[in-house]
Formats: sequence, structure tokens, C-alpha cells
Amino acid sequence: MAGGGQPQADGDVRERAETYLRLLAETELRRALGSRAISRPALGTASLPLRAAYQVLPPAAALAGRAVRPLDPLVRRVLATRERVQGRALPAASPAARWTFGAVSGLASAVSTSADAAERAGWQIRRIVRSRQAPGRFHGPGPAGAGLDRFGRLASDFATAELIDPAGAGSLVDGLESALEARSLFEPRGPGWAMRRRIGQRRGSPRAGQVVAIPLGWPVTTPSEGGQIQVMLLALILAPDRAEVTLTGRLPAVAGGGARQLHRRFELLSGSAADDRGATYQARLTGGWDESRIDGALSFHPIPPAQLRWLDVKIGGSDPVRVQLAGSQPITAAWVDEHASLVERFIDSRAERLLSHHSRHGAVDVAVVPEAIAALREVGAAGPDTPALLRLATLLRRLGCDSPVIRDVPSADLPESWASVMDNQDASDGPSGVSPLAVVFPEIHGTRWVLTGLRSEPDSASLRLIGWGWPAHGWPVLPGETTWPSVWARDDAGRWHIAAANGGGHADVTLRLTPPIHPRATSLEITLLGKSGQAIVRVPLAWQAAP
Amino acid sequence: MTAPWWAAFGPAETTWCCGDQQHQLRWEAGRLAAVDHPEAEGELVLGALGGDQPECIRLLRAWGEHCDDLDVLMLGPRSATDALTVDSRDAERLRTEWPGRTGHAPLPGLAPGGVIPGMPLTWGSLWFGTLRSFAMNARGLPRGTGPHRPGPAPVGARVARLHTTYAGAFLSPGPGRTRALLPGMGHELDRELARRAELLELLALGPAFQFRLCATVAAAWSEHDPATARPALAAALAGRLAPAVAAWLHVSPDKVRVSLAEDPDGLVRDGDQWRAGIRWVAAVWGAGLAVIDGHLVTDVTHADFPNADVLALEAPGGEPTVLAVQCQSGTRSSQRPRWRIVRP
Repeated sequence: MAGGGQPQADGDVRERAETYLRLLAETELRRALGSRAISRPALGTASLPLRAAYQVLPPAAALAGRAVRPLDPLVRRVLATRERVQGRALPAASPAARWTFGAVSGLASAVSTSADAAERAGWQIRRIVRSRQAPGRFHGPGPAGAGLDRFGRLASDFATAELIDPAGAGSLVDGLESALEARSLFEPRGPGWAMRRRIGQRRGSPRAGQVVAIPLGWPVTTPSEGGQIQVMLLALILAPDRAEVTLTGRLPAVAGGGARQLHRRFELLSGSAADDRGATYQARLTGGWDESRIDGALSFHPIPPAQLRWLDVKIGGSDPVRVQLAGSQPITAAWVDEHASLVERFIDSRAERLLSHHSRHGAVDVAVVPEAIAALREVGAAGPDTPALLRLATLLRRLGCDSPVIRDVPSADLPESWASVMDNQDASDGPSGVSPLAVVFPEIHGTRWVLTGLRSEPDSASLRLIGWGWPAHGWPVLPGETTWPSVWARDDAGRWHIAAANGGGHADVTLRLTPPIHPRATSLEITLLGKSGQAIVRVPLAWQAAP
Repeated sequence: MTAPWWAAFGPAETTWCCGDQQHQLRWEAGRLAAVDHPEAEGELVLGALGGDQPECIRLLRAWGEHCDDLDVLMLGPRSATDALTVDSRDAERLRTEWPGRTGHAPLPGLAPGGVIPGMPLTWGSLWFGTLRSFAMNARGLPRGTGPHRPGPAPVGARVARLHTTYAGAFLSPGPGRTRALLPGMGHELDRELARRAELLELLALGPAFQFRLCATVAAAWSEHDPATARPALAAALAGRLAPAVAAWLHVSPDKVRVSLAEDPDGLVRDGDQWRAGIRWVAAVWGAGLAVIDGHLVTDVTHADFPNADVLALEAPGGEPTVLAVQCQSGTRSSQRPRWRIVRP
């Protein structure tokens, strides 16, 4: 396996890092203790009448509020008039006029306050019930949750830099979480939390020989109620635990839109397959789509064996297309060992994040020093002469950041790739098209990646990958699983592109490349950068019209 | 200091449901005793050999088991105003609401596996969900960190270890070992959950016992090279010393820098840092002596509860002076010790 890096920081630094984290945990606990939150609602031991009021009064209050809402403009006008009039000396008026004015404005005032009061009453009753519930028990996230998040991020960063082992970092995070919960300062995240993250960590990656990846590049059109759905089949991936055809496409405009239509499209893009042995398979669409575009994969069940000669794939109402499996030879990426300091790799990864953010969003925000950098300096893992810190400081200055954390760090030359990205950040000359690809990367730190396609647009490009051993998207970041591998690309016209996650599901990832592919580029060198080396592959660019 | 670390601690008492009776538990002179079980040590041995263990005896065993458990310092109170909301029902639920657990688990290794449970979404169960998560990870940095046998433990602890060794139920995990939620690894999880439930039960004995348990752990670690536990001990010290110094100086605890001293001397100011051994937590903080009448106590020189001689600072930059102090509160678990200077 490539990338089996060992902890590189010396024992003293690791001890200081753990001490730093533990002291931070104490600080966060103290802060949370200093700002106890309002308890969450639970009826608990409240009396029956109170519980009934809790349930009934708020909706009733809302109804009452809504009922008098139409009177609101009139009421406001009357009240405003009364305020204006009462602010001056009133001219003499007849008793009837004074009575009428008083009655109207009084009624308006009553309506106004009643609406508010009715709504407030609902809130008050809830508050009373809360105060009557059993003491203790959980409170809203508030400062405790924010502190736990801060702490978790730093623990994760330290684990990424291997200043602490991931299990130890997880233990510290759980320790703080439990300490907060033991004081009813934090609401637990639920029983699935630990389970999910471990399942995410445990999804093993298959061996290289077990993954078949075949580029397709076939346009398929399937009818739908709203018109033709046009998709491009990018690649077929066969692995022991997965069989997918990745695709990208365009959906016809549908009047009305909405969830029902999306659901209908989901059904339209189901599929099936039959192999040379007569077995059949069903396929369902996974991935994401919006009103006009779809980027996903057809996932087959059961999983066809890799020894097949061919597979006929059918999508929706389209004609089947035959994929030849026998004799297919996927492109594989080469692994190059590169033993850099993991702390430096971590700092570089944070710099790349800044660069990517800046490249995507422009110079709207002034960059800020990542929180972890100060901590790394504090524990002695990085100093003013650390090359990665020099690079980061230089980048930050170019992005307009002036922070005490980097003030004593001299500037240095930016790496060619970073400079290229910055120089071309405003480019919008990318070609429009799709280039089907099928590249199997070597295992990198327990993850395996297959590149399945590239879609280019004038202002950026999207790399489609599927992966194993990848922590599922949308789940909270965990120690040690943040930054590996990072992805770079360089086209043969000399333009570098930085990649950033741009959506995806559990295993399918779309990376957005910025700046766009050079219009004259004919090949692309893609690098997956791991802890202790990099996997590099050069792929020809064969643009096809994007559906 | 020549007196034992517990010399400034008064006795503490509470009642505990043992079978269908309310029994008394009493902590005194560094030991937890089951007052209504005069043959407690014999019952401990019998329990270790597989006999029934009354609740009180089980608590004695648990106290011994956790006497050097750094998780106590992570979960336990930091100051007198830091109130834990744990109660005995939490521990009971942890034991009984998970599949595979039908009661107390003195031999948790024998419990069935199957460790991904469905559970009702109650606040209590959510709390245990996270406890469970903690349990799974807790030994990544084992019981704080490193080897966990700092020194002579009370008889209860020794018997407990005999029990667990005999039963083959306790696996002292090595550094870096992690918990898992996989079929086949349920026994380890069960053991950890049982350990966690015990810890909750001990904390549920009340603030007086929480402080004494923290002090017991700190005392155990003060007698040995902390080795890889140094970060955990440094944090345990800082978490308790910083609020005390901050209260004394009327500053934010975040402004107080604390470091762990290698030597057993008392609290000293070292430049902009406050330095103390973990023994300060045991002998000074645990006894409620940290700040008395505007004085920051750096050490206890002599103690015979309710009287003690302490070294204390009246103002920053000064030298510690000897004060005679006296505790003026009772022994109920909910009562905080109230110390007063009786002779400057």
C-alpha cells in the first residue's frame, strides 16, 4: 500500500500537542460552565393542566395572532395618528369627536396588544413548563456546542498532522462531550453518531486488481414526459462491493418543477443490465441533480462479477448499449514516494484550502490564518523557519492577511502551482465539453479512487471520482480524515488547477477544478497527494459535446 | 507535607439502596466503607469468586477500580460551583437499556455481543448514546493515557483486581487501542460500558464523594512517574487550579497559566505560571482548601480534620505563610467544606 506514513513528530511535540488539546478542553468546559443555557423543553413532571396548556395555548395564540393580523395596517395607522395627536396640544373638540377618537384608538391599541399578548402567552406557558420540569438534563448547543466544535476541529487537525493519533483525538473529543453532558450543558448527538462515523471509517478499499474501470463516453437519450433526457455515460466501474455507470446529463425543462417532478425523473433514470451469461441486473440512480442538470451514477444490483465478457446496459426507455469487459485494461496511476513532514503537509493543505476558496470566490474576503496554525506554533510543531509556514505566510500576505501569527515569518517564493492558480484566477476561457476517463489510483492511506470523467466549462471544470475508504460526505469531520488526499491537476498548456469538493454522495465525489482548463490543452496530469507520496496520471483530453 | 493526602478531609456519608434497604456508605481516611456490611472484605472476596455481591459491596469494588482512573478527573468537578447532574438512574439505564445487558455486569465479558442497538429516542437514551461513544474511545488514550497502575491501591481495589483477573473479564488496554462497534467486539464494549456505568454510579454519590474520588485518583498518580499521563494530569491540575487562582486574583481563569511540576512540592509561582504537582489536587483542592478567606493555599503542612495547618499566599508576589484553619461543616454528601482561618 502506498502512503503508510508513521507519526513523524517527536515525542516532546506530541506530548505538548496532547497537553495543548487537553488544556483547550478545560478552557471550553469552563466557558460552557460560565454560560449555562436555557433548558430545552420537555414536559417531564409538569402537571397535566400545564402540559395541556403547553400543547393547546401556543397554537391557539398563533391562530389569534393570525386572525387579527389583517387589522394590523389599520391599527398601525390609528396608533400612529394617536401618537402624533397626543404629542401636541389638541385643539378644542366636541365631546362626541373626543369620544369617537378615544374609542377608535383604544380599540386599535387593544387589538395590537392582544395579538402580541396571545403569542407571548404561548411562549410564556412553554417557559413555565420548562421551569417546572425536572432539574438538570440537556440544554441547547449554544456555547458548549460551539466550543466542542472548535475543540473537535483542532483535535482533527492535530490528528491529520499526526501530532496525536486519531483514536486519541477521538477520545479527547468524546471526553469533553461527556463532561459537558454530565453537567447538562450539551445535548448528545444521538445514538447513531458513533456508529455512523465508524462505519464511515471502516469502509475498506478494494485491491487494485479488483477494480475494473472502463471509459464509455456514450450519449444516451431517453424520453420523458417533459421531453428528452440526455445523458453521457462516463465510465463503468466494477468492484467487489459496487457496480456503477457514472453519468452526467441534462434534464428537459419541466413546467412547475418541484419535488414531484424530480421524483419522476429519478424513476425515468432507473436502468437495467444483462450479461453474456444471461443474468440480469437492476440499476437505480444515485447522485445529485437540480432542475436542469444531473451528475450521478447508475448503481447495479446484484453486483455483476468481474469475469464477464460484456454487459448490456439500458437506461430508462433507451436502447441498450454493450460494454465490453473482456480484455479491458484500465489506466492506472503511478505512485511516487515523497516523505515530507506531515506537519508541513498539513500546513500546505490549509494553504491550498485558502487558495481554493480564494480562487472560487475571488478576493471578496480577506483571508484569515487557520486557527490550527497558531496552535502548531504554540506546541513547537512549526516555527518561523518551517518552509510550509513560509509558503503559507507568503500566500496569506498576497491575499491581504496581516496576522500576528505569521508576522515574524519571512516571505518566500510561492510554489509554481499556487502562483499559476493565482495568476489565472480570473480566466474564463475553458472549453465546454465532457471527457470520459477511467483511471484507477493506487490505495492512498486506506482510500482508493477511480477517476471517471471530466466536465469542462468556461470558468471551471469538474472531476468525477468514486472512492472507497472515504468518510461520507455530510457527516461531521473526524480526527485524521480531513485532508488526504488533496488533488491537483496541470494541463499541458502549463495551467495548474486546484481541486475542491463540490458535492457528491457517500462514495461519489465531484471536485471542482479552478481555474478552467486551458482552451488549447490536450492532456491533463492529475495528482493525488497523500501523506507520504503522490499518485500521478496523465490522461488525454478527448472532448465530447456536453449534454 | 508529612500527613497523608486525606488528612484534611472530613468523613462523608450518604445512603445507597442495597437490595430493599437503605444502607450507609461512609468515606473516611481515604477509604470508602459500607457501614452496614461489617464483613465487607470477605464479601468482596466472595463476590470475586462468583458469589452474589450486594450493591454496597459492588460500589466498594467500583471505587477501588476507579481509584486511578483519569476519566474521573475528566468528568469530575472542577470547583465547588461545578455541579454534575448525574444520578444513579443514569448508571442503571446504561446497564439495563442496552441490548445484552439485563442487570449488573460484574462479569461483563460473558455478556452477548450484538452491539448496534436500536434505542428509544429519549433524552436519557441520547445521553447514553454519547456515553457509549465515549466508552468506545475512552481507551484510545487509555484511562487518560499510558500504563495505569500508579501504586498501592486500597484493599477494595486490590480485591477488585483479583476479581477481574480471576474472571478474565478485565483487559487493561494498551496505548492506542480503540473501541469498535463491530460484531464480535461487543464484549470489550460491554466491559467498557460496565466500567462507565460504575463511574457514573460513583459520581452519583454526590459532590462530597466526587471530590474525594478525584482526590483519590490525583493522589494515586502523585506517587509515580506520570509518564504518558502527563498531559492528562496537567489538564486535570489546570482545570482545578486555574479557577481557584482566578477567584483569588479576581481575573479570568483563561488568564491563569498552569504547569504540572515534576516534584511533589506545593503550589509555586514561576514567572507568569503557576506550577504544582498533581498532589495539590489531592491534598488541597480535594479538601476544599484552595482558597480560604482570601488566601490561596499552596500546601497543607499538617492536618488532622477538622484542623489543618496550611501554607497560603495572601497576595501575589508574597511568600506563603503558615495559617491554622478549621473546617466548619458537616459530613453529608451535599455539604461543601467551609474552612476558616483560626490563627494567622
